[in-house]
Amino acid sequence: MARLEIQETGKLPKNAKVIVGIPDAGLVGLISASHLIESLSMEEAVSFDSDAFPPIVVLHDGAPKSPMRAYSKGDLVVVISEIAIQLSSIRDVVRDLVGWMGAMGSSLSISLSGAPVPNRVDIDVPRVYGISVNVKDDLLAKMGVDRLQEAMLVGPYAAILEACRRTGAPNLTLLAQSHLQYPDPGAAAEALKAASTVLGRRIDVQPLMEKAEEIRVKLRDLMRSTEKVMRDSGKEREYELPSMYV
Amino acid sequence: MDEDPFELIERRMARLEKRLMQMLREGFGPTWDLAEKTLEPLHEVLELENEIVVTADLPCVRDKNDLEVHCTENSVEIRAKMSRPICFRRWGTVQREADFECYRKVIPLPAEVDPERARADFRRGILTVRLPRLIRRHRIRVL
Repeated sequence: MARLEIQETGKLPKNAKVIVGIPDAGLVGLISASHLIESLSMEEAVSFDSDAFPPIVVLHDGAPKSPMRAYSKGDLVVVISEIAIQLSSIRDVVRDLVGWMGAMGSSLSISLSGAPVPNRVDIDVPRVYGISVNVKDDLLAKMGVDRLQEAMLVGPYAAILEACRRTGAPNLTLLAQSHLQYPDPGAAAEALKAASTVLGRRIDVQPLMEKAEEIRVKLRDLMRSTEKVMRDSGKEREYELPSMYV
Repeated sequence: MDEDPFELIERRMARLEKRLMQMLREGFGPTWDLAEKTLEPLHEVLELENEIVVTADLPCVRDKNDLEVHCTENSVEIRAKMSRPICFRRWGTVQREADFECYRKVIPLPAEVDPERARADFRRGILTVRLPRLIRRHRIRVL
């Protein structure tokens, strides 16, 4: 079993709201998390490592870092991964991540991701759908987000949702209509706008949209490696019609 | 048009081998060319019943006039010019700046298509090429 080794290097708030940005459809989570870290000038607070990760160190401003880290500011913590989590280790990594959030006393985890739609190119403003577990039923309605009623979720965010459901941890999963295999900053902007209500702060997505094309170019290779993991996970099953008579 | 089934199998095997080699190269090779200042675009090939649909993500390409799409029965070649160079600073082990100005990619197709009837569309930085499959009829002898 691949455990998540957690090294806390900075201050973490009590009752934190934790945003999770892991590479998945359209890299929506990663783009959203990255924008939050940059725009709020968040400080690095946690380094995650695991035998399940490939032997990768990323360099930022000359400093070697684990590809999966958490940043904090005020009551907000953002978990970001610069590598896609391999199918074989998703459950173990997520179980430990959700366990860590519980031990930290997190009040809510918010997963941001894409809901891949084949006609994304025809959509001006992606809609955001929500799923919630162990939170008040009317939260999504208050946020103005439609609850996802019938669907199949595949990948790391499905594992987070399931781990939270099982352990009683509160989780909100926000899915913006997105490309599956192309980085989608437009979807990330809509996911962030939806999340801003529950975060209790306005998130300016204008700088994100101004850099959208550059982001799409620079995330090509990460999207390519994420695509391989999504293919292994059977991500295309999210396109399937739901089994409504089960 | 009737065709020798052995020739058909041989041709399909050759195409499969070519595709496997391409997949191997894509799995390990770089997706850029510094000398040519080109990037390989992200792309997707979708096999439908009557057509093959190729899409490519081409951010920073403004206009369809900056695009060239060439097609054969077995492949699609995409060339596109960016409206401005995209710069990667302090990049990789050589710590140099790298500018990229265009995209180039030859995409092998999983089945033969009719290039004469192909059509393309470019919206929001996404190129979509629809290529009708080439349908060959084969006579089956009833014994």
